[in-house]
Amino acid sequence: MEPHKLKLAVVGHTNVGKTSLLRTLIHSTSFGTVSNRPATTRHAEAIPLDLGEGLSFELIDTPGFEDSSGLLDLILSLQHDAREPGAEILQRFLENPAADGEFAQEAKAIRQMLLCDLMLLVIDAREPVLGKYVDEFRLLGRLGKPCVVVLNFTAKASADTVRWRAAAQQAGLYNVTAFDTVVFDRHDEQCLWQQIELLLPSAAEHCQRLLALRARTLQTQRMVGGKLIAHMLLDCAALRGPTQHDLETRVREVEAALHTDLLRVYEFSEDDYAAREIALPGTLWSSNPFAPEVLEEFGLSLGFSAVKGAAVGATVDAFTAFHSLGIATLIGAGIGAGLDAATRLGKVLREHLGGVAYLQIELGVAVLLARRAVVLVRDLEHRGHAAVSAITARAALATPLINEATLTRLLEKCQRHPAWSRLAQLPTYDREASAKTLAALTQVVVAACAADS
Amino acid sequence: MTVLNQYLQAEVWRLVEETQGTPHRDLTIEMAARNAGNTFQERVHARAVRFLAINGGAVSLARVGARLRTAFSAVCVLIFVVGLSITRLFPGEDGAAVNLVAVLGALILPNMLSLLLWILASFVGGFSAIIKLAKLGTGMIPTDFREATSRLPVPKSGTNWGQASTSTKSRTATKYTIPIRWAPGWLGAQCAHALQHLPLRSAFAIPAEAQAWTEYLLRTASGRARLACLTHGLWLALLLGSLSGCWSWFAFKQVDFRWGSTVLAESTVEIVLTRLAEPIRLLGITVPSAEEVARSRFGQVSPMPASTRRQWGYFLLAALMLYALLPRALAAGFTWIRLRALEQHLALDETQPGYARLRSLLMAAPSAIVDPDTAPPALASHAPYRTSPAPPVAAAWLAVERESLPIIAPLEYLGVVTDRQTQGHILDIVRANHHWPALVAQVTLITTPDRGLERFLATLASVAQCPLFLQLVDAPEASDWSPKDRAQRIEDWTALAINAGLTPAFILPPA
Repeated sequence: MEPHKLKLAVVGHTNVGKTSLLRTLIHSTSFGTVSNRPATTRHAEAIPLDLGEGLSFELIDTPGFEDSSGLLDLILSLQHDAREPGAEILQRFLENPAADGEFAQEAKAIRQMLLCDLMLLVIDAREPVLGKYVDEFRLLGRLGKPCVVVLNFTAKASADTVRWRAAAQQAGLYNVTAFDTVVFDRHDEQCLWQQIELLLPSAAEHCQRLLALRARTLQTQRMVGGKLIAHMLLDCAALRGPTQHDLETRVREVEAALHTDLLRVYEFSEDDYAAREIALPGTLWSSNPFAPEVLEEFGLSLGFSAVKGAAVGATVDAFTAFHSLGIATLIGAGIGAGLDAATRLGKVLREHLGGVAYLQIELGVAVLLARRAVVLVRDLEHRGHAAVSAITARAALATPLINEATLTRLLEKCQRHPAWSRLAQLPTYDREASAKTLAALTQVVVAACAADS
Repeated sequence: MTVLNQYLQAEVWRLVEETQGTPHRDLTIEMAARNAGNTFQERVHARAVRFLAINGGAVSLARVGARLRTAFSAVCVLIFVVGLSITRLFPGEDGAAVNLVAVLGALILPNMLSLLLWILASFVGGFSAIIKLAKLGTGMIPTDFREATSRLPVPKSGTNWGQASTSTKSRTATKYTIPIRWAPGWLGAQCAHALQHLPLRSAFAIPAEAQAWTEYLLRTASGRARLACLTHGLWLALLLGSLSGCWSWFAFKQVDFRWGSTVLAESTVEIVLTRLAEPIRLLGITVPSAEEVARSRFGQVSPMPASTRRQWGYFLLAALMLYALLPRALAAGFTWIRLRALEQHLALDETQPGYARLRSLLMAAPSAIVDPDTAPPALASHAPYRTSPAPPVAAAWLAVERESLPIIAPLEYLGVVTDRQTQGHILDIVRANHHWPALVAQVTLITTPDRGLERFLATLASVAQCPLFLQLVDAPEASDWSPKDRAQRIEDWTALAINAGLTPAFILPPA
């Protein structure tokens, strides 16, 4: 397929959220500068949105219009004939000295408007429908290029989308869509790309690919988030500390690292989250070799080890064409079971008889850590990349997660296996042994993260 | 550097960083990685290679690979020796008779059986019970082709999360599985797992290099194909050993060949031997005829002629090659070709936390300025005057863009300026009135200062016959603003008003 790049220019009045829209469309906080000041963006900046197989969008951020009425007056004065195409008049404006002087910022936007395939006109829906905005409608309407009017900040109570829709349609711009760049709504994003697809048939495949990509991205981010949370829970729940202070410090560090990771996964910066510390009480825990869960685990492990040994022995028997009469199988089973019993049960018994006790975080605290992390994932999924105020961590979370009983059971299991925690840095740290529990934890957490959406 | 080597290096470094919890930061390496390619995976590879080069990890990884190769070679030699010793099945005395049924059964049957189970397990992935039986019964590594195509870790990446390339798009769809996957070849998997516990364990934890190898072998289609290749290799070693043993035995010893079975009917054995001989005869090898087969049964008293003895010897060797060695070699060749193909598409699992942490470091959006700004900032901030007087009582008053309650008792309210018509109307009124003590333009803080408003204020100031005040007022919509944002907005309005020609002392910040 031939490479096919479509240019979308983001235009609008100053300080309406053009860079914000772009950030939220590319799902990244690293683009441009967002502030509450006018004329923050003073250059035209392009960023590609690669869709694979040669298809891409090029999104172009432009400086905002600052004097729309004055600009329209000038452009109208340059018009020779009422039927003259808008593009020719705008071209004439660009050749006018004012385009390098008073209207230099607007000229940058107009240059991109002439070059692009489609324009996204951003409107701050909290604003009243003023004359300067109507002049912008008229200006874009004259150009005769596909244009989607994007109403920003629609989640605010002061937003008046009805009046804005009416005003845009009155000016001949019928494709109006709501898209809040601070409070992200996936449905609104879909609507926006569908509007673009509707207006620009050549963008149909681009838009479909992009929407599919977004869906995949969400799934992947959720999966990665789930894995990160599961790792953190496993590390914290299995950790045994010598003192309460040591335990708290390590758990806080690992939770903070998780927050940083989650913010990175969702393409936010560390400034986007304001952590709040919670109490992390520890509890004394000692081995009980006769606890039903320990016995169940021991029985299963012993059985599996015996089968593993038997299978290895059976292979040896097979190589001798079974002339060994299954003796190797028997010996293998015996060795497997014996080794497992010696290593596993022996350790538990030694600890029990020696009265060894450990300090671990309470199970309820581990569950609370899980809730906090899941809530953060949900918050990040609904946060626009233009948001400037940080998410504040909630200290108390009363609502239980979906499958919390399973989660609790898994965390209990982790508590019985200190070697599963990376934080302990034990010589017995065994990644493979914890893999199944980690996978189960991941599944539970991913389901909990997805439960909200 | 091979694809596998790159993959393993990236995996080793991921495991190191995952154990430590955070990615290592080195701006030079990150820059080099960003320049190394367009895709995330290329950059991750480049980064890992550089870090491992510094930390000696590449050498360590090569050492683990060499150890694995040595271990495999040793096992191969051992199994070859086991194969050689197959001749223990033969009688030790010269002139004694070898039971053809027993020898054929021992040489060919286990191999055929395990090969059949492997094929079954590979192609009939749905019957998990059969697969488990195959895995348990043979101790070999079947490659489940259905799984290999449906559970490739993650689509080969583009610049975005989960962006599928052409080749992987159709099979990956939107399915992401947790990479704790069915490890085919249960015994082989256990052996591979055990490897990391034996000579490779260091003082702290399992070396990342061994872990990377294990995860590759157990959790990727390519790794499983490699294990399958190794299993076929072991079987080939056994069969080659057997073949060599037989050849040596027949070369240096004279043995008679007889057949007989306790439970199988004579006619059945005769038919089996005759049928097995037919393809061998087609290869141009002289094999015993049906009559000679019948005469070779145990209990026949006539001595075996030397020619028949030779024919049986060739028959056994050819049968071993045709019915055991050749199918196994074909299976090995097929798996090897498949391994090559899978290795070319060996992709990192980007959902692993270690890789997820790198995405923002390595895949920063490459934006480009297409129309730069060369002019100085249009609106330099200006701190508000601290000694601003109050506007005179009974001044004329107008609101800019938004309705707001006047903070003074106005002599006259001129209205709200919202568009060019209202601007023109108010300018006309101002031009016509000379008796006001002052004119106050009131603007709420949420109104963004722009050049259009500056132009209007400048015009207003020039036509007014009295002092023009700019009164800034708070708005309920700005109640959630930070003090910094609020102060910034006041400074911006102050600067705009000064640009418009207003006397700085007449710019009044909110109360």
